Amino acid sequence: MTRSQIRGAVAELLSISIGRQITLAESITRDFEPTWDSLKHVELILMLEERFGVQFSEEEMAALRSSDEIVHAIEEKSVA
Amino acid sequence: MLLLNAIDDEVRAVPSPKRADLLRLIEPSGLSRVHLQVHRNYTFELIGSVLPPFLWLAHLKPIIAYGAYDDTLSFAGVDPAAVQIISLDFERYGEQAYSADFSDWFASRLENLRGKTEGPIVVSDWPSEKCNAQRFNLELEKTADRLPSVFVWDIFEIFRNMRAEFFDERAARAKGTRLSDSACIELARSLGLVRLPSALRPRIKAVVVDLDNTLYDGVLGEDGVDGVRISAQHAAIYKELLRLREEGVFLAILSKNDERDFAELCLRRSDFLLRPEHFSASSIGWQTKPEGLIRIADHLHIAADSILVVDDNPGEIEQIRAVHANTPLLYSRSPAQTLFWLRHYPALNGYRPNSATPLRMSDLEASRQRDLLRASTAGTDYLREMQVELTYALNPMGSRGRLAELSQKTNQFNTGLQRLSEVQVARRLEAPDHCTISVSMRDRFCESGIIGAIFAQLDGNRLVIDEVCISCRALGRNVESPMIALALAPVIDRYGLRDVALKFREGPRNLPARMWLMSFTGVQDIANEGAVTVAWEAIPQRDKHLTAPIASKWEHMTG
Repeated sequence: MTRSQIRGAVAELLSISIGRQITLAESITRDFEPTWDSLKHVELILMLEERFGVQFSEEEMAALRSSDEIVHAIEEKSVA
Repeated sequence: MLLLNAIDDEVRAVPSPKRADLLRLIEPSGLSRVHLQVHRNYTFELIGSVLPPFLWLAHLKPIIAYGAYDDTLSFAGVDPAAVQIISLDFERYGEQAYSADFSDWFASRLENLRGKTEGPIVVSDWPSEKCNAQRFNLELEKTADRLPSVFVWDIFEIFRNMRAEFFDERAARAKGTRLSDSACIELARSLGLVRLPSALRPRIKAVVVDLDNTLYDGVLGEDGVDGVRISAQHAAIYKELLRLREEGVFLAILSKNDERDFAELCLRRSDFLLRPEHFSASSIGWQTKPEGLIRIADHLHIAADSILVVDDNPGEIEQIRAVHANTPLLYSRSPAQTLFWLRHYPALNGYRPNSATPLRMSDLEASRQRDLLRASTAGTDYLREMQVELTYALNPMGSRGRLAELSQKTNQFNTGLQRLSEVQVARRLEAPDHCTISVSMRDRFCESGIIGAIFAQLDGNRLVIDEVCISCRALGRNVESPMIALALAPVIDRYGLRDVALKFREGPRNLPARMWLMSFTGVQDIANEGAVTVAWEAIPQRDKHLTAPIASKWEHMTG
């Protein structure tokens, strides 16, 4: 999967999770998205795990605080 | 309900729908709101967030309120109008949960909650195969049977099917639950499609199936008896239909076919497990499907909106919908899809066995014999020949579920239309100034079980009758007035009452109740939301009713 494809899929799942359309070019962080609360974050992680066939540890889950970090983490796990 | 859209594809996905697919579905319009209040000690939100699409198929829009995590089940701030859901991770209680008195404590908390609300309480069991958990689940079943409108949500069954997939301890602390994502979705599916609709909706009374490309692959008229194909999934469909029939759901056939072909299919194909006698009604011929459905509904004495129609032809499904807008419709696109929905269709599964249910089919058969008898006799001769026996019980707590069912479901002969819940009935049964009478009936043709209920209260020297309801199965035998007079006479006598006040509320279909009220009281001007008060001694033809050729007895007269 290319970086662009991962970015597109992450944007789609983020849009579902936080309830607003996220564009491919957009880079968002939890600190500036009021609806990206802890529950939505858990749901997002569950959807990412299902979509990309990866697993995140509790520490990794807590560390993912932006769309860029998520894309990066999935790239790394996909390579590994 | 028409299941032609994307929701259908997503909710019946095997093994489990995907969270993202469920969350992106768009809510349909025209749903009824249902308030759910969740008492939990884990992140139930992961179930609650994917619950709506399943409930949409039961035409329900959930409004979910969550309290704080509460292992003590204090039930602070209970919304009496909401459906209460209790779902606990019992492992959080540690050794405590394995002590002998844990079940007692849990039962006492359920009783406490029951006392605070009148709506259904849904409580999940313990998903564990440990002996103590199994013992707890058995005790929970007993408690739920004892308390009105308390329903066990059998998540142990889901655990048993999913095994290792049910829990995902990996990130339990971060998620706030040990449940896996797929378990959360399976739990939402079972809660939304089966558990909640069966607690909130009356059961679908009949399943009407098409033949070609529904009960087998192929067209009987073209492929012939030997040419139609019956797969293992079709066989599973037959078994599901027979299970539903065992549970008291009528089966019927609605098909454009030649009836002789169907008879031959039953005769010659041993792999077609269904037999003509399994179907309580059929409309096999060339009339339109809406016409055939009316015939079936009339034959079964039920409304078309309590019938689920299963058909592979979208055009005919649409035809039915145009005439019968409220009839549940299942578009049978494949045997797998039909099979799934026979197991999960809202308001078709998940109901408690009811003493009246198995009697419906024998009653239907008996009604034909009664019609023959009526044609050959008249008036009191007919009553005498019928050998009607009525059994009354005053305040029968054990029948509260059936009494509530009569109040909620009876449309034609229902004077009060109060639609009493099981909890409301239970409270009336316990109240010293109320009296509730159940009426069971049998005649020479069959046992009908409890077919009537009288909900009344004592008010000075009056007996105020809030509601009389009689099942449509018992109507048409000309026994309504004797049945009610024979019920009231000992109560009037016992409490030394003088007057009877019968309340009336008009509904779309209770004209027969109004007509009876006019005939029984002699009062022609019956006001909606009013009461007709007459002296017991002045009831027209009272003595005739009390001496009608009907045997009657009282089972017990407590209260």
